[in-house]
Amino acid sequence: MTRSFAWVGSWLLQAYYMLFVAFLVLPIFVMILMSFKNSEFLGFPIKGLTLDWYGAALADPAILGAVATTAFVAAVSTLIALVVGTWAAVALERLQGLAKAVAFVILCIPLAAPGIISAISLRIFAFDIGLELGVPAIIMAHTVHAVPFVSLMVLARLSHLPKSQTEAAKDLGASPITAFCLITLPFLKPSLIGASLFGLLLSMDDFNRSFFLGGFEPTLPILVFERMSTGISPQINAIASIVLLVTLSMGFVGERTLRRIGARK
Amino acid sequence: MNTQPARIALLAFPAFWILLLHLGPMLAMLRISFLESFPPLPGSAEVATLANYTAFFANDVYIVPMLRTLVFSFSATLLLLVLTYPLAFFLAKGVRAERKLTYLMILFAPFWVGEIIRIFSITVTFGNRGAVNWVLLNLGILERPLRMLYGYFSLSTGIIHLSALYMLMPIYAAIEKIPDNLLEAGRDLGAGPVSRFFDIILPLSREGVATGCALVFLANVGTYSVPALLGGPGTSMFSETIGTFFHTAGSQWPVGSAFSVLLLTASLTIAALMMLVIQRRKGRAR
Repeated sequence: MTRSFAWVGSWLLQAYYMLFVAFLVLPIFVMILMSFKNSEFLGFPIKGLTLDWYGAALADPAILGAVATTAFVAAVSTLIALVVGTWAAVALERLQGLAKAVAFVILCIPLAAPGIISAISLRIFAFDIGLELGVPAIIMAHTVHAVPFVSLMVLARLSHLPKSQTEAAKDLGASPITAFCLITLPFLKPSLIGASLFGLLLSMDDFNRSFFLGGFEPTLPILVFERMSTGISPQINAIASIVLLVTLSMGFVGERTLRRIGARK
Repeated sequence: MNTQPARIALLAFPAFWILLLHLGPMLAMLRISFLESFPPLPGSAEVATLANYTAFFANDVYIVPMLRTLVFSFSATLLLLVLTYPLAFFLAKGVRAERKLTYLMILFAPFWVGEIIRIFSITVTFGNRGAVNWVLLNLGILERPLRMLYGYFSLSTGIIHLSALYMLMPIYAAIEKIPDNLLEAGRDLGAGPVSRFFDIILPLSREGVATGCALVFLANVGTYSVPALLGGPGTSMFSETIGTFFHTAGSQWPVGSAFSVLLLTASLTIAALMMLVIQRRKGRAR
């Protein structure tokens, strides 16, 4: 029995938890409801339902293009961030004292920098290295943004890897690279799955960097932003609901995979 | 058997990467903030100047949004602390172990949805013809729609929806770590639930509170989409000011960079002060 606070307060807390969840979920629920409304006019009451907005959204070349751009950017940036972030985490484990502290702070800059500052500093940097605004620049920015998250998730698990295992492998004649591939990498698997999922969501949802480094091929959040600024159409509800479905199912599938792997260990 | 060349090979690539791509953009921003013009005119040398920084202090149009941003972000951080602390406590100590994951997952799920979509859903919900107003009108609580969007109410709603997790997680982790037998010992020694909370839980979760406050404050200061889509003309934030300098190519970047450096300095100072104040109280308590 771990409930140390089994008193009236815990019922109040339970009610508060439910209220807070309802507050978080309410707008999302309303938006999904709205996407089925059979009227141009965005507001209540809802008198009839339709799937037209979904049909219109799926037939819109701008939306389909944005989906492709978003998926491509997310896949490439996550893949690079996974390699770099893991490498950085393994390297950081080897450092000690001041060097480790300084490296850790520099590693975490993209994570802690306020959104607007991260975005504009990366835009200036892209200009400095001669990278045109557009898909390559967004990939660069998303990768930089994702690396610290990957490293932190890998580091969290790396600290639980018994040193004796890799040392035993090396004593038995394995090269450091072989030991890494046969011992460390399989041990990190849950972290890597979690990190790649997180990286994908981070990139698909990103606004700041995509907005300031984007060219003429918008990612989905930028497309929604632009359409919101030029006048809200019911179509946005449908696009947003589709994106919502994709992200939520990614989250749930990933969570379940993680839990299954975690249970097996 | 970690030979020296292998060690260098292992460290060189990540070191190069983070120096170039993590530190590089910040240094590029800092450098440009001191330039008279950018990109430098062909054939002329770069001229260093402080004019981009002094431009900030010369004009209310810049100072007011900066102060508004800092004050609003600070208030929103305190609001989030008050709102999420009971949740963190409940999740860490009030839920049975086997149900904990489910409770956490339900709370997390909305945060997988991207910021723009969540902001959009808030405009649909709280608009003049939105769901909330419609319900309140039909219940007879309101006679005409309440204007909830494009002011501090919608800004705060947006911030709560987007940043609650950054406050909740560090505090949850800190309370979770407090051993249950410490609380049982307190109870055996006659401490009631209230004094157990104030004498054990609250002091021992200070690290989490400090981390959460710093994270949320920095996130609030840096958000561009929330004030752009949920704010109004009277609530413009400094991130929008900075953004306007980067919508056009080149020439305005030095001023925008200087302003970014000012915002970063101010917000890091405040975040550090917040952490210091919270942690100094911990020292005194011991």
